Amino acid sequence: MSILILEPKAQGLRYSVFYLTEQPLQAQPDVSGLSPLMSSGSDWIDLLEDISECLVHADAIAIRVRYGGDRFNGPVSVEPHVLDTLTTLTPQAPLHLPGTITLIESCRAVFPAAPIYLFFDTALFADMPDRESMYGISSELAHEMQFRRFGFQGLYHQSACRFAVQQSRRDQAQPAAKIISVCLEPNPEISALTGGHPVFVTGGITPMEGLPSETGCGDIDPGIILSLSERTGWGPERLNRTLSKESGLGALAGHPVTLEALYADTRPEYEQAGQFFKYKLMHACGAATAAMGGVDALVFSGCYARTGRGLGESLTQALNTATPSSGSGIRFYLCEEALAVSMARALLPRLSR
Amino acid sequence: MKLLVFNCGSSSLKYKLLNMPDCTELVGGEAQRVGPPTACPACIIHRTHGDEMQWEVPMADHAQAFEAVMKILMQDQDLTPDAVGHRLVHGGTLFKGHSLVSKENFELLQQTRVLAPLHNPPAIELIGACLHRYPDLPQVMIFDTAFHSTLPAHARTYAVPAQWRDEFGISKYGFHGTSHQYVATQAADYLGMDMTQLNAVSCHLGSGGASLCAISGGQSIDNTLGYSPLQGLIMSTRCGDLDQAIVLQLIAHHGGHACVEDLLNKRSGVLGMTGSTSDIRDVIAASLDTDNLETHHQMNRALQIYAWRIKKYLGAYLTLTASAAGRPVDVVIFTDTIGETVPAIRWIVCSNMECFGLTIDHDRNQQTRLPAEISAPDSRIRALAIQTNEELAIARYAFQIINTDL
Amino acid sequence: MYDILSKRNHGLKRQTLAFAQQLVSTAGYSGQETEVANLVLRQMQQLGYDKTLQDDFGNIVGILEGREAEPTVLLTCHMDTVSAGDPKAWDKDPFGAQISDGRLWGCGASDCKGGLAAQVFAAALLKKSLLPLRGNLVVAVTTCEEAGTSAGIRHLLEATLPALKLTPTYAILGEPTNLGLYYGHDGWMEVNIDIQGSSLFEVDDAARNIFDQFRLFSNEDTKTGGLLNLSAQAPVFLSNTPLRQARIRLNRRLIDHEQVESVMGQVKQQALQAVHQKDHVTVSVAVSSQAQTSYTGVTTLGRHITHAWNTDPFGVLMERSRQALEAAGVRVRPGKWQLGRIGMATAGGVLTKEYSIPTIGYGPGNEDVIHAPNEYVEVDKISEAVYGTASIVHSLIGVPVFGWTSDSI
Repeated sequence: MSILILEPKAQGLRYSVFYLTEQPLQAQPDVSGLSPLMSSGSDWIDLLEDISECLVHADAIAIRVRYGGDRFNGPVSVEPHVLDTLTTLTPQAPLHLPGTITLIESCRAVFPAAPIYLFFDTALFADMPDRESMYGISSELAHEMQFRRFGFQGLYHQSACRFAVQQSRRDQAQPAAKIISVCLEPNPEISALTGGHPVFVTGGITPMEGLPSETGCGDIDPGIILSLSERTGWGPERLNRTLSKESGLGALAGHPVTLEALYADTRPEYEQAGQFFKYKLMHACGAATAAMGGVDALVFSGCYARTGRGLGESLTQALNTATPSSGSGIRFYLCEEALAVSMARALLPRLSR
Repeated sequence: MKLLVFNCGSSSLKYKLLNMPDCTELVGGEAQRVGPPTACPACIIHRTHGDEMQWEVPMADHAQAFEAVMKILMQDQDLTPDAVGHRLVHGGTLFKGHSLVSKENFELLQQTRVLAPLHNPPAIELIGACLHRYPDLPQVMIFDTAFHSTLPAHARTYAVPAQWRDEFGISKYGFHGTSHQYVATQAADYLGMDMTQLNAVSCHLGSGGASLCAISGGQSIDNTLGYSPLQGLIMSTRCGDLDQAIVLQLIAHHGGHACVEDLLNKRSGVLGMTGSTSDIRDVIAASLDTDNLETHHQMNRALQIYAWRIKKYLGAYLTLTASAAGRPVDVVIFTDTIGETVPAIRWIVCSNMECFGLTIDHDRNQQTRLPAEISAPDSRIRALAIQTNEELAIARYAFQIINTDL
Repeated sequence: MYDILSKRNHGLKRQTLAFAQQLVSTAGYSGQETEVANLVLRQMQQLGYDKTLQDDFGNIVGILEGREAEPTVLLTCHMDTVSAGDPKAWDKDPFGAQISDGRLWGCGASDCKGGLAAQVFAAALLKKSLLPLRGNLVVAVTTCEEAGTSAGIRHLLEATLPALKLTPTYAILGEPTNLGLYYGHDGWMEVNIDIQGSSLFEVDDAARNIFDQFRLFSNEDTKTGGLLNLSAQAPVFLSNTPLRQARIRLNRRLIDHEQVESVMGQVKQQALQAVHQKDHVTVSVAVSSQAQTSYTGVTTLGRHITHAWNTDPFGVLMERSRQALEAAGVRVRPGKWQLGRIGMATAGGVLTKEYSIPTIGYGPGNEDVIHAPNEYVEVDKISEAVYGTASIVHSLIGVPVFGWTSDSI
């Protein structure tokens, strides 16, 4: 049996193939790569045709979808009503969902026999309590415009949380129940999970809110936007462009920088940005602890999970100082499991049915 | 000395004359409906020795209001002020501390008009009128932002382009500084601690604005309000933190930035969530009323969202302050209208915070006589409800500055 | 979002230019646009427009349907051109569609085929970029514009769009603006001054005097270096017996708010002043009109008036367009058409004055080189116009994409 996992990226379509035999799922895919987008933009079907050359057929396909709103709280197999729902949700994720729909259609064309499953980054947060997902604005407006908070790295958080529970059970014979999951990606995010359910997340109505990212400002005062609109006459599109592409850690460092380089490199211009980011992480961890009424463990995931080594020391120290009554002290873990692996693992039980 | 304290609103002028250093209030009052004439006439309400008097006085602007108030006071020799203290909401980066007014810095003050366009100009007018009429009367400017001038770079910065930070002055200023500083000082006194050793989180929860302040070593290290008074907590009509993508979307398709400014400042917050009231006390009462189930659920949801935001910031600041100081905070302070008089909010916000070492005692929390210690005896972090007194605080700081100058 | 548009636009460059060349090499004077029309229709179908049609008047309409019924943006250009004139006056073949020195040369290149190509592909760019639209995008390529009666656009607005249940909220003309953001221009009126009388000599004298009078006015204008406000053609004679009839055709600029009736009154008065023997001649003044037959065989009578029009430069349409272009990283240059040559016009007057649709212009062509030999349009500007037009359209009817970036697609 072969499973094809697809992760659409800005640079192209990342694919991972698992050939399943009697053994349990390996830690790495059998084949993986990136089918790159042309500089002038390609259609998904061209990329899929490239991928299909390296695999005879696929028994099942899983696609990572960045947004499912509150309509999907877990993985689904693609039926007509699913496509209708994605179409309805489009205004809430206008840069992602039209592409997702086209990708599904292209998969059907290139691999007509394979059932397609969708894994949503927001699914983990679909049932988050209202007190966390709602804002201090008119409830009519919020309902009409679908303004509610989501996390956007749910698949990482889920996999990391599972890993942390496993590790803590091994280390301390007591599985961690209150976990702060720190996803270190170009767009980082923190979530607090009790018993695997999120009660807090730094993401917002869009990925713009929350922790500062490599190019995005993260949380800022809404008054800044109103003030600049008036003083400069800049329109909302221009402000959006500045706040999402020309701000963040890169703006503080003076040039584009990855989260990894920020802490690996000791350049003086990275000092300020590094301190700033750490402060924001600490702020979020403190809020997460209040949200859960305590914390047992931290876990880092994402493509920069390794950077969690240094950050984990600082954050657990701060949390241990602030919550002296938390027994043996808060530990942290690094989860480096690739998303494709966790998606494949979650897919298996569905296929054997 | 007799110190006259002024506190300008956009169409009002509150004043108090205090005898310093003993801080006894001699007289006080308020000029109302200052500005262009409206249906109701402008008037001054004057309180002295328990009596209240009211006069109709036309006051087209704050300079005229100032003249009118001074006229009332000057009638009595014992009420002639020796110095004046002014509350200014925003000092920006030009005024990092409270200062004596001089011709030079009055020029500089003009540049702060744009920082708080509704609040600073009336106060600046007042100072100008006083400088003109009574050039020898010492005046002190007390800035709401001054206490937060000690915010370290990583707390003050927004991750926006250098041009925004340098040219447009986009940075976190924080507000309610005078109040936070005052109640922190009161808390230090209560605990028998030196202010320079105090680590605290101060929660100024007002019926208008609200903010939390993280205090380490007696100095402000963070505040939930930011560049403007719109950030942070959910307030009576202000939204607090909100995904800026939404602000942009509303500007693009819901009437432009002036309309959105009005929406987020005046028709959001508690009022936005409930659609009927801006007062969290009404929400608390309604949350237990089951006559109309839809309203019941809406009110409960609003209460949760309001309190949850405060709780998260409290957790964040407890952690940040502990990290900065190397030990957990000493005290959490609740102040201003909601903080002082609504035990339910204090209870809900502090529930399930034992992990930080904070436990509220239910009975102690019901006390109405302030200052009140509301934490349980075995709570490592103490919690106090302290009455804020901005005019008194302004008078104290003004008195300190004048004496230092002499 | 702009990086997605920019990348895709780069990918469409060759196709856009090829289409522009095909348009330029296909002659289509007013009333003879059959081949050009078919070319446009086929291209829209090939690009995957949701709906395409040819209306009774020969206009070609392509639609991208939005998720909601409104708003609707109308992108419009005319497909007809003025006559190429004497081919010997051209350095290059007026229908050769040659590209050299970064320019596409040919009759109608700037007015309006470059703009036409840009608008057709702007819609395609949005579609290919997978950017969802809230409202509808209508690309309408009209006939019979250059003859001076805007017959094509009138039919589109009166009959075609209402039948499709589409009411444009905003309109963008692809007329030559050199990529400026134009919000209006002065108007033109063509007036016939008819002089009649029983005595041939007296009528002819009167006609010559009137002609001299108006020639004096127009000379004064050119002396002061002002824009040409008035020009008169020498009298032509329409009958000898029983009455002598002379006709002088006058072209007069109209500025915004000028009423046609009062201008006519002025002209009549000025004409009468020139006549010495008023008892024996009658002078009448009327707006000239002309029967117009489309290539599909429909005939209408059109008056030769182009209204002056202005869209509020600080209104929603201009503001949003300006903001969109700025965000897209494109230079913004608000302005107005000069219309330096007699007879130049746009459909803006019909759209704003008769249908109250706020209208602006944004096109790659150059106003200074149109209606003359060696007309050209800059190739790079066509491509930039595709990107700029798509950005403007998105700001008006696109589903907002604030807060999302393409980095994490």
